[in-house]
This record gives sequence, C-alpha cells and structure tokens, in this order.
Amino acid sequence: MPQITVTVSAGGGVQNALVHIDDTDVSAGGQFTFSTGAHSAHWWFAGNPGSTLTIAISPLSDGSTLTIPDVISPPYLFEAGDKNITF
Amino acid sequence: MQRVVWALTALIVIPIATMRVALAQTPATNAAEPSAESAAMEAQSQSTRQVIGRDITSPAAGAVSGVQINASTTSNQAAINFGAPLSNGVTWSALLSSPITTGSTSSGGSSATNTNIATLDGLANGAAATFKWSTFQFLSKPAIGNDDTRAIEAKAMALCLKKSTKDACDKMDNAPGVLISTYDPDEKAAYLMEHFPALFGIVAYSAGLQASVGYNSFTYYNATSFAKASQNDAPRSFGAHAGIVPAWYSVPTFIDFSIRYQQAYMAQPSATKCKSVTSGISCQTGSFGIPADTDKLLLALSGNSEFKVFGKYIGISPQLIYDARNKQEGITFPLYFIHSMNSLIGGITAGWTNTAHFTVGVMVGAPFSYFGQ
Repeated sequence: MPQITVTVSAGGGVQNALVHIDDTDVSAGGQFTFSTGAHSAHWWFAGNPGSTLTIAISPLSDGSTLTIPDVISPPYLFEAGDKNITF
Repeated sequence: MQRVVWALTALIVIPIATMRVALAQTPATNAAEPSAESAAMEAQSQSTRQVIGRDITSPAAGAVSGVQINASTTSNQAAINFGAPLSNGVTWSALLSSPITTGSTSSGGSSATNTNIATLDGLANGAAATFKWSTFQFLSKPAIGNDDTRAIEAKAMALCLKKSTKDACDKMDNAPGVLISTYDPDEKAAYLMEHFPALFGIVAYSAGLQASVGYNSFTYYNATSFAKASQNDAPRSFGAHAGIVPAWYSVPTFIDFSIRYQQAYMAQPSATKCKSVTSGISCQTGSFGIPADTDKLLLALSGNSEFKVFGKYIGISPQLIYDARNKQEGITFPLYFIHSMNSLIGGITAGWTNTAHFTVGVMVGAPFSYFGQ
C-alpha cells in the first residue's frame, strides 16, 4: 500500500478547487494511502480566466512525480480534467 | 500638482507590478516535467499577467494581489489589493484605496467630493481600507469524465497531432482542458457542461461579507466670516453580496446582488459667496459649511460576462445601483477590450447617476474579473 504525496497549488483568482483520486478528496493535499495499481485523478476548479491550478502526485509506479498544470482558458470560469495514474 | 501625484503614483505602481511579474514567473519545481507544452505555458503566462492588476473591487477576488488605477472625468483612484484563498472555496481579501486627486477650489483649498464614477459610493472620496470574506461553491457535485468528455479529449488530441509534435501533444495530455481550448475550442462548452452539472439552471454560487473604514479630510469655509476650517471624518461601510453562475456554458456569466450600508460624509457643494467689507466686496469660492453626514443604503445588481466580438474577446461588467436612503440611482458600464498576452487588462467605463450625471473614464491595469461588484 504505497504512501502517496499530493500537493495542490491554486494560483491567483481561483475561487474553489476540488481534487479527487478515485473517490478520495485530496484537495487539501498531504499524504494518502492507496492500493497498488491503476487509479484516476480528477480535478475541477473555478475562477477568473487565466487562473491556474497545479497538482503534483508522487511517487507513481515508476518513482516519478506527475505534475498537472492546468489553467482556465478565456472566456470560461471553470476547468476540469481526468488523468489515469498507476501507483 | 496633479502631474506630480500621477508621477509619484507611477513610480510606486510600476516597480510593484514589475516585482510581481518577476516573482510569479519564477519556474515552479517540477520533478517529472521541467517544461510544459508551449500552449499551456503561454496560458500560464497569461494568468501571471492577470495577477498584476486583479479587479480590486471584487468581493470574491481574494486570491490575488494587485494594483489598479481608474481615471474618469470626475475622479482618479489608485488601489492595492491583498488576498489569499483559505480552503473549501473560501477567500479573503483586503483593499487599500485612495483618490489620486481631490477637488480643488479656486482659492487653493481642497474639498473631498462625492464624484466617484457613477457608483454613489460614499467611501470613494478618501483613503479607505476594505476587508472581504467570500465563499464560492458548486451547486451540484462536479462530475468525473464520461464517454462524451473522453471523445472530446480524443478529438482534440487528434487535432493536436495534426498540427504539432507527438511529444508536445503528450505533454498537454496532462491538462486536457487546455488541449481542447487550444485545438478544438468549439467543444469546450460541451466539455465543461459534462463536468459541471447545473441544478435549477445554476452551476455555482458565491456569497460574502465586507466591511470598510475610510478617512476623509475636508476643507471648507464659514459661510459668514469666510474663515477657512478643516474637518477629518471616518466614513464606514458594511455589507453582503450573493451571486450565481447560470448554466450559460457558451457565454460564461456571473450575476451578483449586493447590499451595503454606509455612513459617509459629503462636502457641501462648491459655491461663490460675496460679502461687503470696508474696502469693498470680498468673494470666496469653495465649500461652505461642515460636510454633511449622509447615511446610504446601496443596493446593486451586476452582471459580468466575457465573449467574442469580431474574433476578439471583450468583457462587460454593467452594474445598476440604487441608494434606498437617498433615492438616488446610477449605472456603470465598464467595457474591457484592451488585450495583453490575450488577457483583458483595461478599457473604458461609462456611468450615470442622477447626481453626477454622465461620466466617462479609462481603466488601466484593471483586468476583467467575473467576480467584480
């Protein structure tokens, strides 16, 4: 059961951000325990156009860190994404 | 004197803005991917520029700091905004603002005037500090990707591979929303609609509180003796706001209602008075009498939206405001059309009140914000 470290960095203008790995809310960041194997990261955030959300998840199964740099594109005030990951 | 004040303001504002750019552009630590795909980085850079001048009047723009100057036919104001997100959609911010000039009398005296561009805001005449707390919440639980969103992502990836290298497209795969915005923007609204379901036609809501305290220095004349006098006052304000994001995915919009109670002070209208003296007639122009203590109950309805016109994004932030205590009304219509790095960073604003009538102004370093008042 690997210990996974999640950091969530919301840039200027972000009004709210949610980050889940499977059904676990990891929005606050920190260390979490997940089973070895395939999982899914999901994120949603709101704010002004240009607002950024950066998510870092480590270690993946190959020991690397997954970094997700996302941004709200004009003219929208929401952004979301999904990413398959393996621990 | 006015030129000196502008020059001093520029000397302060420009270094602060430059410093913020330098700080914000410092590369983030990234163990796996030292460089993101160019479009994503460009978008990140755009957001950096936007941080410089975040909408300082926003009740919910807590996560940023910025500097802004607004100049109109009746008033000029500079402000600095500090703020930070807390958690679970809660933000706070503090705003320090000050007029760059005040009304001048022909005698050289000065008097604060209540002529902020068509806002009826009684605290716009002097220095003021405003503290805001706000929450922003999704009305429905956001949804994870489904077959429809995956199909949109796959189509955008295919378009990317046609126009760019596989390596570049693979890197953008970590931010599918950016990939879609860049290569298949027509599908973006549909993509967001799947992820952010509406409830009763509303996607999200915001609510918040704010309190302000100001400082005004008035100079006026005694109506009979023409003796010059001064008075310092501390106007106060507190209020609340509530807003919604309707499910208009193609034309994102934030609609907000606010209510504020203000105890403000207004200079007496400028006038010229004459009296007989031993050597003839003596005249004085200026404000006669102590400033009036004026309570205000401001009700405001605003809507902020950004959309394309002739291939270019423009932003609008119209606001209707009504002072229920004094039966005064006004409207402002900021129009953002000046682009920098594809962000809206300024424009013009027009307004009307039944006291100041029509005003027109320019906004510099005032990026469009959905969450402005």
